[in-house]
Amino acid sequence: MAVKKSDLVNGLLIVILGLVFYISTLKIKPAKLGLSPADFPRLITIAMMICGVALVLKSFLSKSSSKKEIDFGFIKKFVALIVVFIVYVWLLNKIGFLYLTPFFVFGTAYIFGMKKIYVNILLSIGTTVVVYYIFSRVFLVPLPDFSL
Amino acid sequence: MLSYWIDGIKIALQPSNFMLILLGVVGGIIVGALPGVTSSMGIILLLPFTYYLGPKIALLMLVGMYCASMFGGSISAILLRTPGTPSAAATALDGFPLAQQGKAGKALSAALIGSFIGGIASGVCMVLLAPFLAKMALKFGPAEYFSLAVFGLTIIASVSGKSLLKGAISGLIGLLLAMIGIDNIRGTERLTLGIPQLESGFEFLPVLIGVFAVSEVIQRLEKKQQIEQVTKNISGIWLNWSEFRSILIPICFGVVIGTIIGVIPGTGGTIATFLAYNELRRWSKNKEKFGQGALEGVAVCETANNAVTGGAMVPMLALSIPGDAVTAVMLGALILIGVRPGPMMFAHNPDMIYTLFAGWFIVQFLMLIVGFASILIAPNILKISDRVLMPIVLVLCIVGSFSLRNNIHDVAVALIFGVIGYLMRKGDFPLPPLVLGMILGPEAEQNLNRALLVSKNDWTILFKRPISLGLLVLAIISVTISLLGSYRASKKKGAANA
Repeated sequence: MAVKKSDLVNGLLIVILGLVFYISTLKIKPAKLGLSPADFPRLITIAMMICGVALVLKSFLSKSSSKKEIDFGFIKKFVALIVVFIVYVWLLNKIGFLYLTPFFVFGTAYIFGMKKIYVNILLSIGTTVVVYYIFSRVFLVPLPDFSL
Repeated sequence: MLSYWIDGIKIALQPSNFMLILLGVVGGIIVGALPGVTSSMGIILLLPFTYYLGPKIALLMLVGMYCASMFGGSISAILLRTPGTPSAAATALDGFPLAQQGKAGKALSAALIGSFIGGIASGVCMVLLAPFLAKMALKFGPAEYFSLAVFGLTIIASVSGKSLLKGAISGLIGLLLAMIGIDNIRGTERLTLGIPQLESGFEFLPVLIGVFAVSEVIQRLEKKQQIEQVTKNISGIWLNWSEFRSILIPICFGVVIGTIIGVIPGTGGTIATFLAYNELRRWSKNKEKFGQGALEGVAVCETANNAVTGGAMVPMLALSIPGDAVTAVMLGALILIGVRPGPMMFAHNPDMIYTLFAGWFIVQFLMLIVGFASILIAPNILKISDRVLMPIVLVLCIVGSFSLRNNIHDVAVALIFGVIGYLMRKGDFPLPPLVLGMILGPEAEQNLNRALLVSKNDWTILFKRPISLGLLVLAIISVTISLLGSYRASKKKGAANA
């Protein structure tokens, strides 16, 4: 039988998610009057489990779509983007917005295919300065500063 | 009431405020024109800016973005045959053939005139209907509010796209996200799984930014080919008298259908445009013209999708129930800037409401003026490549999620939900139901709790009160219609495959 794999995996994930969160509500005490803090989450998690099971069943009934080739080019870019983002979040409080963001913009533009270095440098510095000015000076948002 | 209107006009026309509304309109046209950058994403990216403005001007800026993005969608639909927003999908049917015939300017003009008239007419409908509906809703108690939230949640079915089941799952995830942290009823920690970072729950804005904007950026990494636009320069934007006359009846069609569809919760611009287009074609003497480059086809679609805007604002303003997917995001945005739509807003903040009403019409005129300018530079708007745009969008996402509480944790949340949103898109799980779940879940829970406390745990209170019962019946009808529609669609698909 052809099984739509993505629906099968997603359905199972939803069931597991529902179950984990349902179990986490078991410690909450019931209420004498009105709703207990556990009632609504339980209703939602049970509904999630039912929908998850329905998706699993549906995956067995639906025709498997033709096999898609894995796009390694995209996966490489995706991983690179996430790594750049994580490093940025990790360093933001240490290096500060103004000094770190140009490198972030440069990196992400490069991942998106910006090959012209001068244009990229201009974009990186320009974007950072404009956003920094608007938020830090006009809206007075205390953006992270250099603190090493 | 007149003084509120005058105050509203004064606020909107104050030079600094006027410039901000103008910025919202310009941003809306750009956001609408860029394929793949949706109105919802535009509203979310604008939110961090509006956060630091007064709620009234923030509201008008968001309205400017919302209405102008509807027109903006027609630019790429006509020039690239790729609708900038889902609502502009039908515009491409006649818009692109017109562009191929060298009449892109005329098509864009017809779209703009239609959008302007649609916006004005739906604004009138909003002004007349919203206060009336809010007045009725003032009689609501907790049971009615609970039933209203349940009815609102059934909208999930109609904003779910292809799969009702996946829409329901997406809505349930939204509901679950809203429950994580300290509960509002007794202050008990719940669903945190022992993770300290989950104790404060998920802030709405970073989740929205992640799910709608960051996930869009990730998805655009996958897109490889750039579509060739049919025209590099646009000339001949003015319509002659016979062309102008030919679009008058289509505009009337668009106004009526768009406004009615807009007021019905859970419908939206895409349904309105296709319905208006089909009806016009059905009634037209020159049916064969449609699809070959009929100016009437462009006008009716663009009038209808802008006529939806005011209509969709009616249930959102009066009942806090979004009319479509974009107003669901708008509702979230308004709550974040400190504006809580609903009947109480009409009673306690009439100045806010009338500023919105007055500003609405100013926004439409601004859209008309900026729209004409944008037609001339439209090919340049479409030239902005992902290489330039996406890094800027990411920086705005970062600053937007950070500026809410000055917390790096929120930036990380935006990233995590960006990946989750991307995986949801890949798995064909629609995103708007998640927003609806996050907004309406706490409402439903709190009001059900209140209703049960008042009635001493008598659940029949939900059915004893006529309005509450009526709303629950409407909810059941809404779900049944969606289920039947979904069943018919799958049967049709099965027959087609056989």
